[in-house]
Amino acid sequence: MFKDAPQAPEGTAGETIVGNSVKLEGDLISDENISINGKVSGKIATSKNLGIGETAEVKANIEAENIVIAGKVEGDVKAREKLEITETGKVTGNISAKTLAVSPGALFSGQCVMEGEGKTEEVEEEEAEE
Amino acid sequence: MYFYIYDSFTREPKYAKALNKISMALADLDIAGEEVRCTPIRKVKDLIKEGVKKGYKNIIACGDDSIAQKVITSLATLKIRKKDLCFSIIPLRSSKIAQILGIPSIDAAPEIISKRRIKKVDLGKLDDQYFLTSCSMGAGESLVKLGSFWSKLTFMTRSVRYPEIQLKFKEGFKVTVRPTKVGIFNILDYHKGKLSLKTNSQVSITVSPQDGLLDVIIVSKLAKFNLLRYLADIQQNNFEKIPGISLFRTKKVTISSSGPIPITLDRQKVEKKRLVCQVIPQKLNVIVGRERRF
Repeated sequence: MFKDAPQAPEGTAGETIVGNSVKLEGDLISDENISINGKVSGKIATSKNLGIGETAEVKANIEAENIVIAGKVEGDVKAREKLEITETGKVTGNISAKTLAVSPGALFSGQCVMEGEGKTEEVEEEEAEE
Repeated sequence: MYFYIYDSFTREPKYAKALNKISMALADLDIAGEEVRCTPIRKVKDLIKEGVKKGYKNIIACGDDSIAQKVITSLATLKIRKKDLCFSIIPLRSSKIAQILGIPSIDAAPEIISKRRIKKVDLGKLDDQYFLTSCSMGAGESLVKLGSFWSKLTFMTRSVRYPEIQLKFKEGFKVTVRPTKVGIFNILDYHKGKLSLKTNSQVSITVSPQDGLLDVIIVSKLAKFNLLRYLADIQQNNFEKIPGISLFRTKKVTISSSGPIPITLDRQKVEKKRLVCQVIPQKLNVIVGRERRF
């Protein structure tokens, strides 16, 4: 269950939601939270939070403040703050975040860059599945 | 200065008492004005032109959503230089627009109009028609009622065969989906336009007619069991209970399909294969009550 998805703060005026059987192509650029459960190809960028559900298949470079991935992503992922890959998440591409959380069972294949307190560390890693 | 446009159905004898009551209330509140009735010869657009020419600043539709929709479209399409024209409604029959504007009944209407609480709102434009609240498209839109067994069966059959539609958004992306229903909202018929949706997490959104955007809500194709289960919710736009909702906010969307799409526009029904829907920001002044839904 996608319980730890970044929650929209109280009073948020809007959100973009891509439902299960929806196919989206193109650049999804927003100032609001985005929640994806369908198929997306292109580019995704938001100044707020992004949640990718278990049923989602994303072929796009993505960028957001906080990102939680529980589905399949092919592309580069950039989280300005926190990136979380849950046990059902699969990421193929490079990732970049200040804080990274990878759950047991997650799949990740690519380079990982973590920025913290002025120090940039490059970590090349292929995360194993359990 | 008030210009009251009555729908043709108000000619019926059963409305005589109500019309007398309104006239007296308007006179008591000192907002009586010219009263006209639309006929097959004197259409709403012509009446409004006449009223504006005479200097009336408040155009009040008296009837239901049908006359309100015609007045709104006429006010939006006529090249009227006066920026302070206001619209409101006296509901003589059940009216969704009146409820959304916070005018709950025929008795409350005169006082609300006299108080002149004015809000400037966006309008939606569907090809050459304007709408204040919403338009929706889907398998159930061509059915008058979904109460009977046969209409429910027809709805389910049509939903299963409903063609794939493509929505091309001005913001730079396109969406392909086989929907049960697509709703495009300028105003949402919920408490103050707030809606809680079940997605990965519980999200709360606000649909506002003053934000320069339309909210496109898509109910994806549902399994037969869920279709039956959520039938009433789908028809009543009760999206909070329905799973798998999609939501996009846009200034303009082009919708196309291989087959004709039945559309309901502020309760009026049409069918189109391709349509363009966009928001016209800050287009209309409306007189509203305290209980308005935005």
